[in-house]
Amino acid sequence: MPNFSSPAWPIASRIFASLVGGYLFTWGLIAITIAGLIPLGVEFHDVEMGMLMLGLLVYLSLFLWGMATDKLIWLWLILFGGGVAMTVLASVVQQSFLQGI
Amino acid sequence: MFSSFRQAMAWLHTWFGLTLGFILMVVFFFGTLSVFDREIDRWSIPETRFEPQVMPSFDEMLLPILRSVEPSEEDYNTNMPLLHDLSQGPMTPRTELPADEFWAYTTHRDPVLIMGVGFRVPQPLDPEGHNHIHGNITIDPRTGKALPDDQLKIGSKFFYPMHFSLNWNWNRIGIYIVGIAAFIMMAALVSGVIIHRKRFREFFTFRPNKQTQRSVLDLHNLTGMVALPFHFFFTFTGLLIFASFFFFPVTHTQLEPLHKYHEMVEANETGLPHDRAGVPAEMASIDAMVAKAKQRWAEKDMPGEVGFLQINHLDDANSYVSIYRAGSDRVALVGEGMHFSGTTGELIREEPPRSAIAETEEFLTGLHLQHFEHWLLRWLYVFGGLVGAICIATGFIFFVEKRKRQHTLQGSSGSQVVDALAVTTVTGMLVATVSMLVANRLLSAEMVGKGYWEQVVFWGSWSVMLLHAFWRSSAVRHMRISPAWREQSILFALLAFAAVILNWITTGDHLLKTAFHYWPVAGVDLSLLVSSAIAIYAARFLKRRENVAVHKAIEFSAQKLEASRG
Amino acid sequence: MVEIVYWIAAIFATMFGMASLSLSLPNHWRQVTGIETSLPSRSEQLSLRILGYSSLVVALLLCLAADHPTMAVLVWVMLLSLAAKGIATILTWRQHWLKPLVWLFNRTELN
Repeated sequence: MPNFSSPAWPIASRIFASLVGGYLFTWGLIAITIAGLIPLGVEFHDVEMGMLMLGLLVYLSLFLWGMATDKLIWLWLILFGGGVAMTVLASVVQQSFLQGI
Repeated sequence: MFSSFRQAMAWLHTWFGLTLGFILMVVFFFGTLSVFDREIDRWSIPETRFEPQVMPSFDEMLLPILRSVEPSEEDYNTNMPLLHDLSQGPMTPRTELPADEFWAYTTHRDPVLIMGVGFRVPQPLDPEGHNHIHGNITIDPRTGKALPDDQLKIGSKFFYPMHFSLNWNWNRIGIYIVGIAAFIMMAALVSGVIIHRKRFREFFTFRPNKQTQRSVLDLHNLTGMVALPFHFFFTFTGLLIFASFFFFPVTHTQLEPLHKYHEMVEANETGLPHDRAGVPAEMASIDAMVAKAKQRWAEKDMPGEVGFLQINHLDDANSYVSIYRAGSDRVALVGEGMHFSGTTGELIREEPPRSAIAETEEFLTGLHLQHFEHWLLRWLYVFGGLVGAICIATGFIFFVEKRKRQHTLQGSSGSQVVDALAVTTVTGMLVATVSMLVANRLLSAEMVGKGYWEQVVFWGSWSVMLLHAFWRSSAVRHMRISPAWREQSILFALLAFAAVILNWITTGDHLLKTAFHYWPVAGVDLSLLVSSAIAIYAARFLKRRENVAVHKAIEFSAQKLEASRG
Repeated sequence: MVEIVYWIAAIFATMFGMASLSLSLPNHWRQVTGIETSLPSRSEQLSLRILGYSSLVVALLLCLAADHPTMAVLVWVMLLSLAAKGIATILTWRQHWLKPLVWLFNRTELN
C-alpha cells in the first residue's frame, strides 16, 4: 500500500498532472482542430502541420504552468477534463463527417 | 507548494535537467557529430573515399541493380508474419515477393548512392495498409558495385541514429525517450531564462578565476544564453520532425479514417493512382523522365540535380515515377517534385508552390536535417552543438559542486553518484566514440560482422568507463575532485591521436595528403587532433584544480577538527 | 568563392557589434577600463547600443549578399552566437583588446 503521507506525493502527482494531463489536453486540442477544420475544406497537411507546431508550444506552456501553479484543482479539471472532452468530441465530429460523405 | 513562480522554475530546471540531462548530453554530442556523418562514413569505409557523383543512368545502371535486390532477411522475418494473411495460404517465400516500389537517393555529401526496394505482400491481412518488406543497397555509382553489408557506416548508420534513438530499437523506445528528453530540454531552456533573467545584464560574463562553483555557473549561463536561439530551435524542430509519426500520432491513430479519406481525395486531385491496377505493363525510359524534369527545373529558374527518385506501382498500368530536386542550395529539403506516368513517360503533375504552413514546415525541418551545401553553416552548427553540450555538462558539474560540501557533511553519496554519472556521460562517451574509430581501423575490412564488433567495442568501452568513473569517485565524498575526469581525458587524447595514426598506417591517407585532395577525411583527422590537444590541456587544468581542491579539503577538515575540540 | 569575403566581413561586423553592446553594460565597461568606479554615461550607452545593433544589421545584409535568404538568416543567427562567445572570451582573458573601442567613445576615461 503506497504511503500517501510521504512528502513525495504532492510533487509526484503534480508532475503526473502536468506531464500526462498536458499531453492529453494537447492531443485533444490537435484532434478537435483537425477534425473541425477538415469538413470546412482546409487542406489536410496544412492543418496537421500547423497544429503539431502549435501543439508542441501549447504542451510546453501547459507543463510549465502545471509545475508552478497553486490552483491544483483547476489544473486537473482543465487538463484532464478538457483533454478528454476535446478528444471525444473530435471522434464524434470525424464520424459524423465521414458518414455524411 | 513552491513559494514563487521563479522557485518552481528553479526546481524544475534542476531536477528535470539533472535526470534527463544525461540523455540530452548524448543527443547533443552525437547530433554534433551527425553534422558530418557522411564524412565520418568516408573515414570508416576507405573504399568510399572518392568524389560525390550525380545520379548515373537509371535505365542502364540502377534499374538492373534494383531488379537484383532481395528482401532483407531481418525485415522479412520480423514483419512478414505481421503483414501476411495466413487464412489465404502459406507465407510467400522471401525470394518470391514481387517488387512494388523502387527508390534512389543522392546527396552532394555522399559519394555512394543509396537505393531501395519495397516488396509487396501478395496476400495481406490489411489490403488498405502499406504492406512493404524492404531491401536496401548502397553502391559505388561509378561502377555499380555494391558495398558489403558488414561495413558499418559509422557516421550515418550509428552516430546519427544514436542521436535520435540512442540506438535502442526495441519497439522504437529510444525515439520516445529522446522525445521526452527533448521536451524537457525546451522546458529547461525556458525555466533557465526565467531563473537567470538578471544575467542578461551581465551577458558576457565568465570568471574562471573564481572558485569552481561560481565559474562553472558562469560558463553554464554563458553557453546557455549565447546560443539560446540555436538550442531552442534545434530542440523544437527535432521534436517537430518526429511529431506526426511518434509523439502526437493523432492522424495515424484516432483520426486515421480522416487521413485515409484525405489520401483518396488527394489521389483524385493529383491524378496519382493510390492503388495498383493489377494489370501488368512495361516501364518507359526513366532517363528520359529525368531529362524532362531537369529541363522543367531550369525553365523555372532553379536548375538542379536529382535528389530523390521513386517508382510507384512497378510494372503496373497505374505506375508513376516521382522525381525530386536535390535542395543543396537552400534550407528546404528535396522539392519541386515532378510526377510522370510510368508506362508512357508523360508528365502527369508538377508539384504546385507550397502553402505558407508547408513552406514554414519545410524550412524548420530543413534547418535541422541540413541537406544543404554550406560548409560554414555546418561548422557553425558544430559550434552550436558543442556549446549546448558544454551547457549540459557544466550543469552537472555545478550541481555536484554546489552540493558536495553539504553531502559530505551529511554522509550522503548523492553528489558522488551524480559526479560519476557525469564523468561517464561526458568523458566516457568521448572515449567510447574514439575507441570505435580505433577498432574500425584495427579490424580488417573483409572481416565478417565487422560492424557488429565495432559496436561491441563502443558499448564495451563505455561500460568500462562507467566502472572506472564509479571506482574513482570516492574523492567527491571527501570534497575533492574525482581524478576520473583527468584520467579519462588523457585516455581520450591518446586514443584520438592513435586513430589518426592508424588511419595513416592502414590507408596511406595522412593529413598532408588529404588536406589537399580529400577534405572529408582531413576534416575528421584534424578534428581528432584538435580534440586530443584540448583534452591534454584539460587534463593539466584539472590537475591544478584537483590540487586546489585537496588543499581546501584539508583546510576544511582542520577547521572541523578545531571546532570540535574548541 | 566571393561568399568567403562576405562571410569574413560579416564575422567582423558581428564581433564589432557584440563588442559595442557588451561595453554598453556597466559591468563589462568596468572590466575593460579597469577602473572600478567608471560607468558609461547615458549618451555613451545609447551610442554604443546604436552602433552595436547597426553593426549586427550590417552583418545580416552581408550574409544575405552571400547566400540564398533561407540560409543567410541561419548563418547570421549562428554568427551572432559565435561573436557573443568570442567577445565573452576576450572579456575574460584579454580585456585590453577592447580598450580602443572605449577610447572611441570617451577620451577622458583612460589616463
